[in-house]
This record gives sequence, C-alpha cells and structure tokens, in this order.
Amino acid sequence: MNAPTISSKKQEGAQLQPTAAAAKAREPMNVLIVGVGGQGVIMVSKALASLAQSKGFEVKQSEVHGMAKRGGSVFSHVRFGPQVWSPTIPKGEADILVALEWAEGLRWLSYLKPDTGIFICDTKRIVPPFACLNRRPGAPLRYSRETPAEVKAHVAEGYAIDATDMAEKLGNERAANVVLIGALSTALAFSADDWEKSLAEFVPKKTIAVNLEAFRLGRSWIEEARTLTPEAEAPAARTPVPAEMNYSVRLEITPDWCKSCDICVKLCPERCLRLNEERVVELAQPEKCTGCRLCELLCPDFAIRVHLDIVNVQGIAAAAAGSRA
Amino acid sequence: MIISNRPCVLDPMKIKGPALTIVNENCNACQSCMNLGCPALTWGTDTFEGRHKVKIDASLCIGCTLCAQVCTVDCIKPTSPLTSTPVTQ
Repeated sequence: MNAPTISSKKQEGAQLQPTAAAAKAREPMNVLIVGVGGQGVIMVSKALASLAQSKGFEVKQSEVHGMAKRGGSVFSHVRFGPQVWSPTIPKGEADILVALEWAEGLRWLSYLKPDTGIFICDTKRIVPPFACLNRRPGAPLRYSRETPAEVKAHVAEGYAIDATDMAEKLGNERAANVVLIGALSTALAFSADDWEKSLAEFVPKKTIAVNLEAFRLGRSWIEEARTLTPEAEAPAARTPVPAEMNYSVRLEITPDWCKSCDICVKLCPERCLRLNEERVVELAQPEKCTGCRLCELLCPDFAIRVHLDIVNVQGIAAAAAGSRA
Repeated sequence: MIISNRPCVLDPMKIKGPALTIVNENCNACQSCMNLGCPALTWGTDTFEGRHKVKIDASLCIGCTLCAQVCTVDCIKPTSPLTSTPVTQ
C-alpha cells in the first residue's frame, strides 16, 4: 500500500523542485498517538481527525481496536493535509508523537522525525503483569529504566508530563488523555476554541467541564515548559538495577510424611518437583528452584520445608531501598 | 491476537464487586496471583526474602476475587466500599 505513495511523492518532488517550500506545505502532517488500551488513544485521534476534517483537510486515520480489555498496546496514526495517500505513518516520519504511557512512548520513538519531531509523553507507568513474573530473590522489574531527561536528549523536542497526576488532581484520572490533547494543541495550528468544540463532541456529556479544564491545564503546562531553560532541570537519577542476589535453596523433604498427593508437583510454578519411583516427592531440577515456598505452604502434611539462604544480605537492603525510591 | 474460549473476566459488568486489597504484612511474595495475568496486579514497593510483594490497583480491580482464591496465605481481602480498608471478620 505504501509503494505507490512513495513513488508519487518522488514525482511531485521532481516537478516542484524550485518551490521547495510549496512542496513542504503539501506534505501531510503526521501525528502518531500511542498508549495502553483503555486510556483513550482512539478518542484523542478521533477528536484530532474530526477537527482537521472540519478545517477542510483531507484526513486519513489508521488505528487498532479491541486491546482495551487486556491493557494492550494501542496506536493510532492520524495524517492530514491537502492530499493524503497512505493511512499509515512510515518509520521516522511522524511530526508529533503523543504517548499516553511511558514505555509505549519509548516503543514508538523510532517513528518520530529525528531532526524536527515533537515527543509528548505522559510519565504514567503501567507495568504489565508479565514484567513482574520473576520469583528469584532480588529480581528486577522488566520495565523501561530510562529517565525523562535521557529521552529528551534523544529527541528534537520532548515533553514529559505527569498528565495522570494532573488529571487526578482535577478529580478524574481518566481525563489524562485530554491533558495530553492540550499539550498537543500547542504544536498544531488550530485555535483553542476549535479544539474545545471538537473535544465537547467526543467526551461523555457529564465530563465535559472537567475535560475542558484538563485541556487548558495541558496547554498552559506546555507554555510554561517552553519558557523554562533546559539547563534548569536537574537530571533525575536513573533507578538503580538491584544487585543480583546470591541465594541457595535446600528442600528438606520428610519421605515418611509424603502421601504422594501430587499437589506440590502440580502447583510448583517452576515445575522443578516430581514424584520418584516410590511415589515420594523429590527436587528434580534444583537449579530452577527459586525458593518461593509455595510447596511448603501447600503441602497438607508438612512434608516439605524450604531452607532459603540469601547470601547477599546487603543486596536485599539496597534493592528494597531502590524499589522504594 | 487474543482468542479466548470464554467471555473476558472484564467484560460482563455483573461481576463488578468491591475492589480487593493486599494485607501487606501477610503477603509472602509467592507471586501466585501474578500468574493470573490480571492487569490490576503489579509489584509493590516492599519485599519478602528479596521477592516483591504484590499491589492491587484499585481503579482497575473489578472485584472478581480470582486472586483472593489463589492466594496461599489468604492475604487478599475485599475493601469496604466506604473506607477502602480491608474487611476483617
């Protein structure tokens, strides 16, 4: 689908070489909106698309549906201009990237124009359950460790807003996406009144007041952030990776008490137990055991005791302090 | 793509109950509830034997009590809708 678009662009470029500025004006504006299902990504893109359409632009929109139920990754491409061919934005071509969640923003960063792209990102962190599955002592959270300052250094123009917190203070956490619309509105050439009219169409009737307030808050936040010098911001410290913990696990099994009920074997999350020839439980894969104590808790006859020795006790304290910070 | 063989637990609004919460002192960080893949569950800030204790995001919890049913130490309790503190018998 993209191939004819590219070739037609090239032809246009050849014809309009003397008036490069005119050719640039014909290029569509690319806005990529990303986030986690349920945050209102599609609502943001609908508000933008209908506004652009009402201003006489040709609009093409491409979005993903049905991710909200499981907190999945949602994106929406919005392209508008005098003439738009393809509905999707190629890599490195987005003028503005609006991210409603921190890690999603980083995931799509490569779509932003490297020299002029504007990155607007909520610092809200939605950690998916599979990032928290490791049972080993001192296991790190599998989530982005980049700080806003580090990401800002990578993009031409970057804003990290705590939009969820701002919306919560207004009384409705769900208005966070409208705070980001407010931020986005400063980067596009539509008037604030037009934005507010478009928003009132798409938000639920009961929440129009709080959403318009959120919109103005986002707008004023960006204007404030623009006046600040970048040096004024102290670079926030990166969350330290907790020290790897050395631990040893020993399972004390009393064979006489084991009645071969199989509960521990079936419920061990690491699948490291089995019943031997005498139908007595044994630790088949000691290297996999994390010492989570599930078998100890679940054994109806107390036949298993877990002895967990964590060697690096300092590491625990450091990890606890690190995760608290 | 997700293909499910029964309705999503978040879908019927019928199972909307009071949000659940963790009794933090009792959680032994076994991560049994994390295995459910519930979007409301994440790691909290406290640890037990180096493993992270679990936290429930009250704004996402629909009160289906699945996590309370798998909890090995029975430390997941429904909150009272008025005070949002754990209900104890």
